[in-house]
Amino acid sequence: MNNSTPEDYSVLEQQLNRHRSSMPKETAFITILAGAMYADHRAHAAEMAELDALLNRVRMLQAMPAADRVARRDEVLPGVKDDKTRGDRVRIACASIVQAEKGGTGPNDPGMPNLAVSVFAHACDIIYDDLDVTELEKTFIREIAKHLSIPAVDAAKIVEIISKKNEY
Amino acid sequence: MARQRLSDTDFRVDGKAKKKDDTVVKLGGTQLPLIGYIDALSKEESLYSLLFCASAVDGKLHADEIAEVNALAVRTTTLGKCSTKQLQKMQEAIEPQLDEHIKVLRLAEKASRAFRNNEKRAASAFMHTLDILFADRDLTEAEKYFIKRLAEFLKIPAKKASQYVDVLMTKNEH
Repeated sequence: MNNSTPEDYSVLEQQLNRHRSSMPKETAFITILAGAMYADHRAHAAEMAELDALLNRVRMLQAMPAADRVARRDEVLPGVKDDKTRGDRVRIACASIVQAEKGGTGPNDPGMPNLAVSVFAHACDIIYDDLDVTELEKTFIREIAKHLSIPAVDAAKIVEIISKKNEY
Repeated sequence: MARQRLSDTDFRVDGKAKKKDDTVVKLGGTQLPLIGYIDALSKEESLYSLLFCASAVDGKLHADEIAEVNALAVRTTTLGKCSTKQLQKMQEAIEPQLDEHIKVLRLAEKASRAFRNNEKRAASAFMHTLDILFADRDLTEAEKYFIKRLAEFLKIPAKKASQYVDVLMTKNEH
C-alpha cells in the first residue's frame, strides 16, 4: 500500500535534476534565435525571411552546407512555434550554449569564449529589430539572460546598445 | 586659426598622387576643397552608402557581399521602408564610387554628414556599419582604419565608439 503524500515525491527532485538534456550548439543557436522571433507568439513571413538571412550570416553556422542549415532550422521550428514547448526548448538550448562555451575536459573541446553573450546579442537584435518590443519579448530577454548566465549589468548594456543600433 | 574640416582631409598616402594634385591646383590657380558640399545625400542614401563602403573597404565588392548588404539593409528602420526599385537605383549610384580605397573613404565622409549632428542617428549608422564589417571572418587593417575614421566622421566620442565596437564585435564573434 502506498502511503506517500504528494510532498514525499519531492525526494525525486534531486535525481530528476541530474538529467541534463542537451542539443548540438548549432541547433541550440538556431533554437534561441527562432525563440526570439516567436517570443511574441507570432512570426510574419518577413521575419522568417529575416531569420533565414541571419542564419546565413551567423559565423557559427557558416561552416554548415546551406541545405543542412535549412534542415536544422526545419527540425527546430515546430518545437519553438508551439507555445507549450518553446520555453523548454529555449531553456535546454541555453544550457547547451553555456556548456559549449565552457567546453569539455579534453583538448579537442577547448570551449568557445563569449558564445553565450554572442547568442544573447543576436537574440536582442531580432527582438529590437522592429522596435515594437512587447512585454512577452521583454520576458523572453530576461529569461535567456538568466539561462545563459549573463550578468545583469552586461545584459542591460547589450540591450541598451542593440536597441540604439536598431532605432534608425 | 581656421579649423580644418573633415572634408578637407586628404586620405591619400601616395605622395605622387598628392604632388600631382598640387600641380593641378597651381595650374588652376584656385584652392578647391577635395569634397564639395553640393549634392548632399538623403538619410537613406547615406546609410546605404555606409553599408556598401563597409563591404568594399577591404577590396572589390563581390556578389555575395552585395547580397549581405541588402539582407542587412532591409532590416534597418531607415532602409526597410525603401522599395526594391529605390534600393537598386541607389546601389547603381553608389557602386562606381567604391572601386578605390580613397573613393570609399570620401563616400563614407560624405555619407556621414547626414548623421553627424544627431547623436542617436550617428550611433545607429555606426553600428549598422560595424555589423557588416564584423560579419566577415577577418578584420583587415584597412577595415580597422575605416572604423576609426568613420567614428571620427560621425563625431562619436571615442569611449562610446569603443563600447559599440565591443558589443557588435562580441555579437558577431560566433
